[in-house]
Amino acid sequence: MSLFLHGVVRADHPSAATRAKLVTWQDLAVVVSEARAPTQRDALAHLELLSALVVDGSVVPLKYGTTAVGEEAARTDVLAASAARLRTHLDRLAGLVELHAYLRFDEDEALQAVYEEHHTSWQVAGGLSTRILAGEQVAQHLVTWRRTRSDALLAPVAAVAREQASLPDREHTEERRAFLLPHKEIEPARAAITALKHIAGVEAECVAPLPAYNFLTEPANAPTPGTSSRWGW
Amino acid sequence: MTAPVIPGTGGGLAEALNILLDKGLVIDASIRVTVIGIELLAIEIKVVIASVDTYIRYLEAMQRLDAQRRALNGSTPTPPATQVFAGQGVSGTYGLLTAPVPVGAVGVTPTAPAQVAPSAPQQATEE
Repeated sequence: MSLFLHGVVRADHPSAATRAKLVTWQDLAVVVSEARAPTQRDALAHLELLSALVVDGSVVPLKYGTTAVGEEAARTDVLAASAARLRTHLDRLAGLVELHAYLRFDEDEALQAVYEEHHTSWQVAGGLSTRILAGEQVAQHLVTWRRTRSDALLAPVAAVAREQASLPDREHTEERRAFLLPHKEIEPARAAITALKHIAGVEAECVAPLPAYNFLTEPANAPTPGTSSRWGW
Repeated sequence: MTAPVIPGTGGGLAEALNILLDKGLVIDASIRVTVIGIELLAIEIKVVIASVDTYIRYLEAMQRLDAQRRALNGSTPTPPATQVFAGQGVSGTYGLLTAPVPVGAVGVTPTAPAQVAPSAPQQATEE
C-alpha cells in the first residue's frame, strides 16, 4: 500500500500515535497516511496534523506529496537512510515552533508615505515601458518602506525569536515573516501581533504554531538532495 | 496532478499552506520514496502579468499626489516635455491642464509663402 509521508517525529512523541499512524525505526517515527489522489482538503489536513503535533514535540515536516511504496520503504529509505540528518533537525528544533506574521498595509497610506520620501517628480515622459519602469521603482520604494515599518512593528516578536525569515510577498504592501520561537513565547507574540490591529493603516494576522518549515537549516557537511528541484522533480 | 493550492482567503492556516506547500524536507532520491510534483508555475506567471497593471497604478497614484501637491502650492503641473497631452494619466486624471489651444488663435497671422514666378531661364549670350 502506497503511503503519504507527512513528517518525522521522535518515536516517543507524546501525542503522535493517538493522532496518526506511525512507522517507527529505532528512536524515529514517520507520520503516514494512505496515499490517494490529493485534494485541496488533504493539503490543509497535512498542515493541520503537523501543526497539532508540533505543540507536543519536535516535528520535521516532509515536503508535501512525499510518498513511499510501503511501510518498509518508509522505514529503510527514509528513517534509516537519513537518521543522522533527521536527529540533527529534531534536536535543534526541540521546544521551538514557527510563527507567521502577516502585515497588510493600507495601499493609499503606503503610497503617500513613499511620495513624501521621493516626491521629486513622477511626471514620466516616454512610452509604456518607461512608465512600467517608473512604476516598478515605486514598487521597490514601497517594499523598502514596508520592511522598515514592519521591522519597527514586529520588534517585540523579533526580540524573543531565535531566527526570522522573510516569506515571499503577494503584494508590495504586504509583509509576511516567519519567526522561530520557543514554544512559551507563542502566546505573548500572538498578543503583540494581534494588538497591531489598533494601529491605523495596518491589518495584522498571526498563524502559529507551525512546524519549522523555514528553519530546516542543513548542517554545512550534510549531504543535500542534489537531484531534486524545488518542485521535487 | 492538479495543484492542491488553497486560495489565500485570509484564513490563517490556508494562507500559510500556500507559502509552505513547496517547502519541507526532501528525502534523498529513491526508487521507493518519491515526491509528487506540484505545479505552481502557472500561478507565478499570473503574478508577473498582474505586476504590470500594478506598476502603472502605482505611477498614476504618484502623479495624482504630485498634481495635488502642485495644486496646493498654487503652481500648474508641468506635463512631460515630449507628451504634452498624451502625458495625462492612463485614466486621464492628470492635474489641472488647460484646454488645448487651437492653432492660429494666438495672434500670429500666418503668412502666405511668397509667390515667386519662375524665372525664365536666362539664355546665355554669346558674344
